[in-house]
Parts: sequence; structure tokens; C-alpha cells
Amino acid sequence: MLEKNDINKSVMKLADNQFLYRLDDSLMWLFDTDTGECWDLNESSYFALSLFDGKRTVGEIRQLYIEKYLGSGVSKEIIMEDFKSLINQFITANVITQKEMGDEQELGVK
Amino acid sequence: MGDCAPVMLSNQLPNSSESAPEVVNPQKEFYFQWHITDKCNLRCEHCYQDDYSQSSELPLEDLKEIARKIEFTLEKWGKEGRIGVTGGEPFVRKDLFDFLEFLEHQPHITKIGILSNGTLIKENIESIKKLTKLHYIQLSIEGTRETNDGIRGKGIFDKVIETTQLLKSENVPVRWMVTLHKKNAADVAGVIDLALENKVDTLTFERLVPEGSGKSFADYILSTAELEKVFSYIVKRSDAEFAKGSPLAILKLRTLWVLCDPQRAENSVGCLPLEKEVGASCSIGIDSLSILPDATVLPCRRLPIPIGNLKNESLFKIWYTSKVLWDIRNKKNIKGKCNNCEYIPRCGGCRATAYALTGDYLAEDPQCWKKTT
Repeated sequence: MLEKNDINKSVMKLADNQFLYRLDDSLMWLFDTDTGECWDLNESSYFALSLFDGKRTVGEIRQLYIEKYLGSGVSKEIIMEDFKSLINQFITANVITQKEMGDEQELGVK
Repeated sequence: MGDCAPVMLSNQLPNSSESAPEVVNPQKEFYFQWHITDKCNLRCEHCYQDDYSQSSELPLEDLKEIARKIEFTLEKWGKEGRIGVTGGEPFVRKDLFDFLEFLEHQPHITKIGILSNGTLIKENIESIKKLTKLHYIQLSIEGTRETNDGIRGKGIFDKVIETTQLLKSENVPVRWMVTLHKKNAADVAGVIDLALENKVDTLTFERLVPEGSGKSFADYILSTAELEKVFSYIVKRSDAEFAKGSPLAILKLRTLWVLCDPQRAENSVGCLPLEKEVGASCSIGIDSLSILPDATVLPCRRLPIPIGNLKNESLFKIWYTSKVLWDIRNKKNIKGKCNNCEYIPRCGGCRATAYALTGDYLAEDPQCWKKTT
């Protein structure tokens, strides 16, 4: 999915039925408010999802992701692969969706 | 890095006194206190309602739709639902038994309680006997005859006793509920005697939270010293009755009770008979919700801050996204002496009392008598 040339220019957002919450440094979740599914997130998943605010492009988010984790002993290539894999999972699971024109509603990001 | 896939959480986490796991994995049972009507044939002085009209009442079909949402949620969670059907006075609704029958057909709703003032039960006893998931009928009582009737109305005490005897004669489990305040604190011993005489199964004492028309009752809230004295008496009396083999279970599974015997509470989680247990965490955000007649959802009936409406929202949405629930789940948010209290897992203070008396649901419990150093 991320292989498409224009993906980095697209603006995506957390789907309306998804709610992201961080209780403390170790407890972060994503909730599906339609089905009740709960997802236990690690720090990097939470960080990536929290950036999908419907304003930033995927490319901008990728850059922020790289900046955050570069210097943690992992190469840029691995971080980029990691990001791609993560975003593909989010898209496949309908956790993030393409922002529609005029779609300015508040997101469930805390 | 490299392990970014979100992991399904449901049912992976162990039960724990830590707040977070309980948040997303509610305890085995989930309790809904469902107020199906505001209408009531009594006007008790301390009532948390301030409207007794029919205007907000939903038709039976809407109640059924909400029940379906509850069933769907319980199934997803793999939890058993316990529903306390109340009002107002639930028996004023002509379609009460149609509704109860529908609830009984929901597989994950395993227990039904009816919370009533006890005045309209005689004419419904045959229908009550047919209920298969009835856990108990709870009757409100405020004290001995004079005290009770001073608060609930003349002749109500005799009605409650008569109803209790009728239900017991039909083997229907009866719970009495007493709201404690300055007007009836001296009646506690008498109420326990009465409960024993009338073979009541369970007796529970709730603290007065001045809400609704009960706001004018705020001056009657027990002081910390008075509450400590009353709670301590109840624990001693409860232990004595248990030692005698009395069939009456006096429930002490609410906030602050832990202070009466912290050692017992600490050493006994889940391993003592119900009669001996003392203390329980506030259930807000963990395993209970309250539903009003118009489907508005409250964290607790005594904490009147709407967190959603089940007519147009899923239960999941309300449960997972409410700021109030998250604020309360995160015990680090609770202020004052509750904040670092070692008894938080068995207490946490009453958030409704804090809200009613201070305007801040995260404030320390104003009725807590624990001394801080």
C-alpha cells in the first residue's frame, strides 16, 4: 500500500470509531467503539497513531517518526521499514482512513 | 523497534488491584443500575431525584434496544451482567414485566435485581414468582417506624414490613437498603434487629449523597466521627451475627469500610465469606454504570455527570471514551489524602460524595476519617 507514489502526500486520520488513550508511560490502548476491540499498543505504535490528526501528511508523519527513533541504535532504513509495516497494518485494519474533503471533525486522540 | 503490531488485549490481563488492567478487562460481573422511570408514588425527603415526571421515560421497544446493546457488549467482554432495575418506583410501569421477561431472555444477563420502595409489590407477586433470574428484591428502609415514616411517608414502614414478609413467604430473596444520615444513625441497631426478625437475606447501608431533592438534606450528612462510629458498630454487629450463625448478611462492600479493619481487608481479598468482607473499591469505571430513564448514562447514580446516551451511542463508546471515567480510573488523579492512601485498592473514596460536597469528583472523600501523618 505504501508503495504507491502519492501515499506520502495523503492526509489520513484515525477512523471515527477508533479511540486512542494513554494512561501512563507503559499503558496505551486503541479502542474500537463499534466492536469493542481493544488493542494494547507499544510506544512506537502509540506515537505513530497519535500523529494521525487529519492535518499532517503521511510523509510528514513518517519524518517525525524517523526523527524520534533515529539515534536509538537503529538504522534509518529499518525505521522506515518499520513505519511502512506499521502503517500498512493500520490501513488494513481500517484504523486510519483517508481524510475526506471538509472532514474537520475532532479526533479521538488524547 | 521492529515490534509495532498492536496486540489484542481482551482477556489477556490478569485481575489486579492496579487500575489499568481492570479498565479494559472488567471484572467477571458488570453491574447496570437501570432507572426505567422517574415516576414514583413516594416523595422521600432525601431522594436523589428532582423530577418525578413521565416525560423522559422511554417506550418498551427502546428499552429492549438498549438491552440488546448491553447483551452485545457483555458477550464481547465475556462477562456476566447483573441488572438492578429501579426508578423512581419500577412497579409503576405497566410494562415492567414485559421488560423483565425480555431481560431474562438475554443470555449474558444472568442476574436481575429489582430496587423498589416496597409499596406496590403485593399486587405483582404472581408475576414476580415467575421470574427465573431474580437475584433479589431490594426494599428501601430508613429506620424504625417513626424515623422511616418521617422520611418516606406515613404508613410506609408497615408496608415495607408486610412486603418483606410476603416476599419471604414466597421464597423471594429480600435485601434492605438504608441510606445513612444524622436522622437515622441512631436507628442502625434497630434496623438490624428488624432485619433479623423479618428474615431479610441481605442488608446494606449506603451513605447519603445530597443530590436532587436530597440537596436540602445536606445538613444531615454524617460527620467523619459519626460515620466512623456507625460503620464500626455495623462491622462489630455483623461479625457477632455471623459468629452466631445468623442468616442475615450485612454487606460492607463499599468505600471507607476498609478503615474499620484494614488488616482483614488486606488479607482477605476474595477469600472470606461475604458477611466478613470489609471494603471495596469504588466501582466507577471498573465494572458498573447507571442508566437513566431517557438512556442518559451516568458513572454512578449518585454522580450526576452525563457521560453519554445509549439511544444514540454504543456502550463501548461511552465506556472507552468518557473523560470522567478515565479521570477516575487513573487513581493518581485522586486528590488530597486519597491520593497516596494505601487503601486505594479497597476504597478510593466515594467520588459522588466528593462531587456533591466539593464540586470536584476527584477531591478526597470528605467523610473519610483516616488520620494522615
